Amino acid sequence: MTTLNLKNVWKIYEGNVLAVQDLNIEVKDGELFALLGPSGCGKSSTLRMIAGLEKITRGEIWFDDVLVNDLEPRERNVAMVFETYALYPHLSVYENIAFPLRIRGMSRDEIDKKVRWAADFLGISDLLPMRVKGLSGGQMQSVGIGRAIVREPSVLLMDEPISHLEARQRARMREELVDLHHRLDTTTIYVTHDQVEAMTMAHRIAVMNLGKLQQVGTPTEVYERPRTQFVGGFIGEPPMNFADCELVRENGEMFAVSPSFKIRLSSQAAKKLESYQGAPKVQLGIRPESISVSKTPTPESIQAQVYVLEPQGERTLLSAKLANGELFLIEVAPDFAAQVDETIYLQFREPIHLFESQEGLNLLY
Amino acid sequence: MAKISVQNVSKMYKGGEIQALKDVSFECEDGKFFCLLGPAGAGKTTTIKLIAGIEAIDKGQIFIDDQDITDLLPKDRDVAVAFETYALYPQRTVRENLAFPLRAPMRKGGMSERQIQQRVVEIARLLGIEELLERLPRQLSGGQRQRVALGRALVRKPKAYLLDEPIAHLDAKLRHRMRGELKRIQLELGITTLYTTPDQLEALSLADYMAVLNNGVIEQVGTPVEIYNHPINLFVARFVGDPPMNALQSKLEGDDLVLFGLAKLPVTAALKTRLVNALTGDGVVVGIRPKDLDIVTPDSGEALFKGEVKNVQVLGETSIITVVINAHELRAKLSTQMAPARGERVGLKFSLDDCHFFDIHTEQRLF
Repeated sequence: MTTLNLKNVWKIYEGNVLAVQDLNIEVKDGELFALLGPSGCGKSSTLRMIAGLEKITRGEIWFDDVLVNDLEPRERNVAMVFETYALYPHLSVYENIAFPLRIRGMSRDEIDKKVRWAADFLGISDLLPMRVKGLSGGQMQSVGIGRAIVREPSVLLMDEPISHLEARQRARMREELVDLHHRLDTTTIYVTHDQVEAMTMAHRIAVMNLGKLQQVGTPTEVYERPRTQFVGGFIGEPPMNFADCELVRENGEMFAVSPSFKIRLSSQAAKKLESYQGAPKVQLGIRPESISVSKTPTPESIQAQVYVLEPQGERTLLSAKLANGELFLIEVAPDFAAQVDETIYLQFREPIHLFESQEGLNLLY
Repeated sequence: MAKISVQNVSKMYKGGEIQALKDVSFECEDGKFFCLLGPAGAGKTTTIKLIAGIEAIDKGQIFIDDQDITDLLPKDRDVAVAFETYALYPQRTVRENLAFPLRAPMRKGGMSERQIQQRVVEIARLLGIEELLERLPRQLSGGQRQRVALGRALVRKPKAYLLDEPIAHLDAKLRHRMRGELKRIQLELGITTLYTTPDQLEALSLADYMAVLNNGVIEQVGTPVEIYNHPINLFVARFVGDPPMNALQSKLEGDDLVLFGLAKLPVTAALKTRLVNALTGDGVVVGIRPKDLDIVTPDSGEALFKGEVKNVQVLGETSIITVVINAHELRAKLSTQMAPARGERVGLKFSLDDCHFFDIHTEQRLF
């Protein structure tokens, strides 16, 4: 039962390298919380500060009402699962799982009880006598998890635990880890660069970029209401389309205008933009499923050319070239047929996102 | 004009201990994009190596157009290869790596230095590595090295490109973009391309034709649409498409298909006749894609199965839900707005029109 609180946490490495800037996050008791971002975003530094493997430059980390800034890793009662497993290859599965208990000087009987419980919990009891060396990637990761949970930690930290597995196995492990978390009910922080993992597994996601927190929210929130352009582009597959455009007011209506198109914004959007004082140059963002395609022009449709068609079974991905050269990805039905370079007409549907050009903040958030 | 024809090719390793390819035959038509799809260890890279002439064939023949190239030296085959392992010259800059194939002495009708530099910059720009031209391979990330390796293949205009998982090490967003660009480049150049990947989505997206390879054996050859809509056996059915097709062990009993020994699905007389004629016994595997499974209220008459939602995976606009029915798991893909919550009891239904039928013993497609 642990709530985790990061208050104004900074990590500055030697040479004034800003790894984490003023991070504020609250992880609820029993939550599966993902730290998501590309390499260099600060997610691993954050995890290591929580684990106590890295000193906090500034700020506070609280486990419930205990300030852990100056506690040693082992005093924090956290357990970590790594991408590389970090197992002892020459030892048996049993000994690997028992290891953290042995160094704590626990009695033989107690250790045996706990190791068997962990193995049973993970469904790997029959692997116990085997050597780690010959196991598959998925099995090794289960052993790594066994070694972490055997101590019954108050917080479980996972650092890209399945990112090196092949696609099908990764998909299976995603479900297994969620199931495991559900049965274990331990506060868990899960670090990944893979938005699919974060979206499909976590209760809430903290999206980070260049050391800064971009947004915290549920998978649906970060997908539907990205707070910044970075979040819009990072979350979702196929990715969101972006185009430079300018906000123009005409006869009481708002338009987003680019050399490729002129889009009339909804009255709600226009209303939100009333107080906007920033530069008129903005980025329009629209997801591939929010664009419809027709072969004939419709009122206010946007002319484009077919660049590439990619059939994907249940849908086809159409890449369309707009007048100004932007490539937009569009999801169309699998029976959609068109020739390369054929002229088509696009219609943008809501939600249309607008991001200001300074910090990429979503103006309609 | 270059048609690649692989005829009854076998390849052993370790003195016959491991058979990497077993009697493999397929044809890649002139100017087409042909994908070899299969899991790790299927024999994809071996196939590329044999066509490139990097390894010798044990049995069978390979033709480019009507020329038997089985015993030709690699340099005489006029194919350009990009390997997943890059194989760059470590002591040469990116620029020199890219220029190398254009300078090689065996190329007739050599290009001038100016033409070479122009082509190098053109290809570097296309792959987004223009600013890396003066770097050495060791100063690059894996994804950047991979683009150099790909560029070194594309810089020439040979009879055929052989690309072995050429974008596997790029991050998701870049891989997406490169996939589209590659397809467009191939279409514009019209150069016959053989491309390997373990990623079914990549194969479907790129290929004019594709072959599914498993354990050194070709399972099926066809267009992406054919393979997705009419998988020839259970392996192909479950390897292509994500999440994998649900496979329901079933039995024909009287006028019903009994699914998982739990639910009775009445079949028409015509379907029954077709099943009876095609089956080796009475066991059928009913295949249904996650997108074709619908969620209904558990007590509605339409529900074929009732079960509990074990997991909900939000992908964005769509979600995948896992439903447990006794000891069986079924996955459905549906709009996130319609998705039930974890722990909820739901009913599942589907239409016979969306089903694929396989023999339970041979695992071959019935219809």
